Amino acid sequence: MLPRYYEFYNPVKVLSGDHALENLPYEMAHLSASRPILLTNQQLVEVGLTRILESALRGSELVIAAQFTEIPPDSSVHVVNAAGRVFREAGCDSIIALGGGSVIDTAKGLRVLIGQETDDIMQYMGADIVKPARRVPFAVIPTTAGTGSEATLVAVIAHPERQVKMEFVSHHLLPDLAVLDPRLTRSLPPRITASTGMDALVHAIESYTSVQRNPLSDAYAWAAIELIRDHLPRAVANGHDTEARLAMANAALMAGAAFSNAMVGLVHAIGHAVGAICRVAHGDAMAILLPHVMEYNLDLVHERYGRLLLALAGPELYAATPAPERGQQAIAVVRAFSQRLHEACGLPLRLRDVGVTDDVLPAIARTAINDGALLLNPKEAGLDDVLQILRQAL
Amino acid sequence: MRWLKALLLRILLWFLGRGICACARLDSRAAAEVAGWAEGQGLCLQIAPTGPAMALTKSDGRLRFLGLRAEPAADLVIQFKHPEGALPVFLGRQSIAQAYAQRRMTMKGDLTFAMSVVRVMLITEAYLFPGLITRRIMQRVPEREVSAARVYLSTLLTA
Ligand SMILES: [Fe+2]
Repeated sequence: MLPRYYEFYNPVKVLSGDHALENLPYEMAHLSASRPILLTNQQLVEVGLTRILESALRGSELVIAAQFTEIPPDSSVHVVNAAGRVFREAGCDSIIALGGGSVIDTAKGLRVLIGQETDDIMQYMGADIVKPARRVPFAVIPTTAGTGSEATLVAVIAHPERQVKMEFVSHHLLPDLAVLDPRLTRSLPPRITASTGMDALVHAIESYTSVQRNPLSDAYAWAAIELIRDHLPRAVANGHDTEARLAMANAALMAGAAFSNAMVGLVHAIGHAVGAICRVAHGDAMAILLPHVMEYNLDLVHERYGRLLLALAGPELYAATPAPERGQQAIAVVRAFSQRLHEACGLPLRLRDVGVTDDVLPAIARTAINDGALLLNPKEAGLDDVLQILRQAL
Repeated sequence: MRWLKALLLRILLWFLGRGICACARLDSRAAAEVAGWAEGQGLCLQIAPTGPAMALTKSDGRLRFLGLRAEPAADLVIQFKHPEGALPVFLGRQSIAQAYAQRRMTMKGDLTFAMSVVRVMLITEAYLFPGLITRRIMQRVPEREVSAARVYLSTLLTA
């Protein structure tokens, strides 16, 4: 069934697999970029990931004109402004982001700053406000397989003084290139592999049931779920399983493209609040909340969840389950999947396992209902509904 | 026809803007939402590129209708990309969420504030439109705390 109207946009060129990094100079040249700034963080430098990039670029025309590594786990407007100064002083003409969610968000903020030729990105926050005067070529090299930020139109950047999380939603934030090279996620520990992988799974499931879902976002979400089903447990069990790592990098990107065009829902609305108030890692919150939110949504989207059973569990279980029970069965499969990851690497299953206590639940719920992700959840949710879900997940 | 639609939009925007203010006075939930807004915090609804607009702001603790005009510096500016995308929303044929899903409008400013604005608009719609209409676009229509007639009267008479 087609929506009465929808939009879909995914201009990101994907370089996936063996020696993907070595193709970067060629691609950047085609974007007329010769002096990129490299954004990353100190930890990734220490693990040696920038060295992998440097050796891949050696002998090419592409010169990293400046490197900016002072990026904390939660990016802020000050970090973006500092990166902007480095960009301008070094006469850079493009951006390469090597890292996870926070590095990529910073890079997106930097692209707004440079593209809009401004000193204050705050005036561009909101949905579809950015309209750059200058095009800044932008490549992303993700080092986790989860956020999918390399294929999304959103960035969240904190403004500590004004106490707001600035949200930017604009197709001008989408990178030109996403480089998926299995060498870069190999060193990710099992626990973080599982947690970030569950984030990708939530992106796919939430976009598949979102009010904004459309046939193209559905296709991306579906493909992502099948890849995650088969490869996340493998990547957790053996980080050097190159095939599984690459599959997860692809799945995260596809799930990102899906939610970039369909948006996420209640799992994210609550998860963002849990993260903001209790400092719980995003992927952990996603893994914990997913089955509880699915239970909540079930009566309105049991048909959609029922279809997802095929992607989540494969044809045998799907065929053996009577149609009216498939939605509920899909939730059971998700629970079993998390349980399996819990046994393999200690992925948390309850909010209390990550330090959330009963007394902060009302505050979490109040924050959650002001999260934009709530708007497109298939089932409306108020304060009491969120509180109930939180209690169940505790 | 174009001018007729523009006129219709002006009338609907006037009712919505003043209706929101009336609800902030008469409905406890709307009042509680607005109580959470900062002094001077404001909203502008606009139909691009040259269409009508309306603005609201909180001053002296009360929500006030600033009239049918654009307020580009408001904390939140919701701008519909064209009148055809705006009409179904203001006629109660489409929910705000659906319009957003169809990317009919841009939103400039704090999206957290936008969620509070959306809740107030839902409450207002529950008074301004008959249940027959709101039930089609909302899963849970907010219960009316006072009669729709009172809200209409307040919308028409109190600025
Ligand atoms: Fe996420």
